[in-house]
Amino acid sequence: MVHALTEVWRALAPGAVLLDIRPYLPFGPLELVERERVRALGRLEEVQFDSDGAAADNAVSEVLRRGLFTLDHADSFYYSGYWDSVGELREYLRDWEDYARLPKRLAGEARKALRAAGPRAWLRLQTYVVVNRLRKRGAAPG
Amino acid sequence: MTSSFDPEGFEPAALAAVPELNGARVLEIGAGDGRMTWQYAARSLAVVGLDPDGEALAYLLEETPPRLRRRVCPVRAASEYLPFPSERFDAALLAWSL
Repeated sequence: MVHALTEVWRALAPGAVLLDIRPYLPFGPLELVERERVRALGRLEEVQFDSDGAAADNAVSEVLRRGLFTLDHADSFYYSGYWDSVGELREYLRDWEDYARLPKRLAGEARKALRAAGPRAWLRLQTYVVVNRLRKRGAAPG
Repeated sequence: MTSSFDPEGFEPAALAAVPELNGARVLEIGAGDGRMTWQYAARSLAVVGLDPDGEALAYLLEETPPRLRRRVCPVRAASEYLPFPSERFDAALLAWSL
């Protein structure tokens, strides 16, 4: 990761901005959202700890320490996914199967909750996303 | 059956808060299927969307809105060895990719 950041540094003009936008796992709890009401249904099963987030933080710290970039701004937000069926949610989670899985019991719970809630209800998963705005320092540090 | 992502618009808002993307030559690393690219490309000068996944880039190429096609150029490469000369870009974006 440090190597990739160093390559980006090389490709950027002096003073240019590097935006680092990335999610932090695990996901928040699976929720049922019905109009203004939000109810937590349970958590996904964590398949493995996401060590990439910590490694990415370390890589950013390292390029800051080396003086390649300065940190202009750090921010965060919650990225929400909404599904109106357990099948759609499962489809989405295929891309995340190395990290999280929908347990059968929770899937059943979600199906039941959706049925009981009616047509205007959604399943929701939130992901915490960080936004780091770095700036390339003018000259290569010694 | 339907799904929806970030209807609150937090991600576009985070990108909108970066004036350095305006009129810039942007390198987006992890451009994938273009989800993030299309949110800011209209105000950039040019966007190189880099990704090692050829299938995702083919989708990006096909699905890029016509008004953005002249601005967005997909490139298949890994971020560890960028196939560009030094100091080529005014801004870079790591799109869920670090």
